[in-house]
Amino acid sequence: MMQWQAFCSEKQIRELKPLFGELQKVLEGLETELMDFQIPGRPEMEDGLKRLIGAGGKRLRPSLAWVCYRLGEEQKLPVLPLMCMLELMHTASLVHDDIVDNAALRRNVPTIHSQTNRRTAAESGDFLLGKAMEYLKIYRGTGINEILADVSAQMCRGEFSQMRNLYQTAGQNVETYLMQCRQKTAYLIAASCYCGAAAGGLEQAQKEALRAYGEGIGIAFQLKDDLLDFTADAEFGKKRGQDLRNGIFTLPVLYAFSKNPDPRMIQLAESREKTESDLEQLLTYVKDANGIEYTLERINAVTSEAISRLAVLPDGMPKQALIRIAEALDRRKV
Amino acid sequence: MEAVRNGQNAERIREADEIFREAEAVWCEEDLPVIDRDVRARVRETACQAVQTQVFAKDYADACEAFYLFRKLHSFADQMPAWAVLTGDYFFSRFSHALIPIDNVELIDRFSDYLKEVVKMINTEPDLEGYLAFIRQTALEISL
Repeated sequence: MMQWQAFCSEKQIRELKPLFGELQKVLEGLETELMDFQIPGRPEMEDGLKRLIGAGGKRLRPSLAWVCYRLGEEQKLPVLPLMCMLELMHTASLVHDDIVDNAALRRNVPTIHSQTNRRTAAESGDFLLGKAMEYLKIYRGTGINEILADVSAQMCRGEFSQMRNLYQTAGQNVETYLMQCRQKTAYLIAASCYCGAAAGGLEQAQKEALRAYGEGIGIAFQLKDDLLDFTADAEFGKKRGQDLRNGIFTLPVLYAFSKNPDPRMIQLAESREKTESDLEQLLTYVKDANGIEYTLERINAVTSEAISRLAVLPDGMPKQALIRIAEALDRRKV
Repeated sequence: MEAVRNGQNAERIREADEIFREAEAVWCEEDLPVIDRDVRARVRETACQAVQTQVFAKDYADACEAFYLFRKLHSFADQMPAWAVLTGDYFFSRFSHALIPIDNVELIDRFSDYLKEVVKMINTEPDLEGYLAFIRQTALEISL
């Protein structure tokens, strides 16, 4: 689970302890609910899913939904089913993305398709979607189901966009990339905030502010994740240069190409057969073109903007927690 | 409001067709079996005939067709991982959209149970006749 304490001063920890303590208990309930399934006849599927869910993850989306829910004074709808839906949708998308990316590890445990086959992994994700559907009835008529259905389409659009542009620099730039970040990542985080606020009975302007906050930190989260491709760190289960090797051009790369277009580097990036030396040259080129600094600046800017959107919300622990969460994501180790 | 909804639906159908055509081009290149348009039409027809009132006929047909494509595409995951998985997921989102206007708890639960049940069948082809029977039976039992 997310270690908020690591990013707070001692005074802040003391101040926010009651809220995070409450969240911790809710997340334990979420964990129990998420693990409560059996798939008779498919032990490999059940084991794979329980291994992945049990491996943790940050539970960022349900946590945000809960904190936004806590901002409300009239909490008429239950929030735990929403938290389950968000985490199940997210986990299903991870299982499916791992097939698309042919990833070997997720949350430092072997991916489902690497332990079974792609078809089984696809169906494992489908099982989670079936489980997520169990909760839809609770939010009938609230607009929450419509938002989640829209977001799932957006996530597919983002993945399609990435897949269509693999190994191609033409037609990709900073703005198209940021749109892809919104679709792949930020819209679900924004929906987590918005739907949590809706379940908590917040006013429309407050829900919109939280949606904008979520979108901002979602973009920052994706950009930070992309930066990890430039820094070797086993802690994140990501090998340096993997995105570049796989023809995925993230913000630091696209910025470098726009600022210092070098035909040789573009050709190297677009090549499907890259040697270690090619990768090193590309990583150095991106670094020299200030691609990393530029991305860090964008992360800081979107995070600040996201925090500023919270101004319309009442002061108190939940608002402070949202600020700390944004700062915690911004400070993730790069 | 109805006009807005119809406009959004038309836009979504255009997008779905476009994505499906794109995927189809890829799997033709790879010499993979295409999804028979007659089968899609049969799914829709079965759904339309199964409903007792015509109010939800189109939404039910959209939902049933999108669900069929979602399952069928994911059955190609071994042969064409990226396209099959992403296109399948896209049709799941179309399916979710189509369920919303019908606004029927029992229908959502039936599809949820059906999905959790069919994934238990190891590496078998999606059973079209079984699915058509499910479409008919569900509409009948919940008086759609």
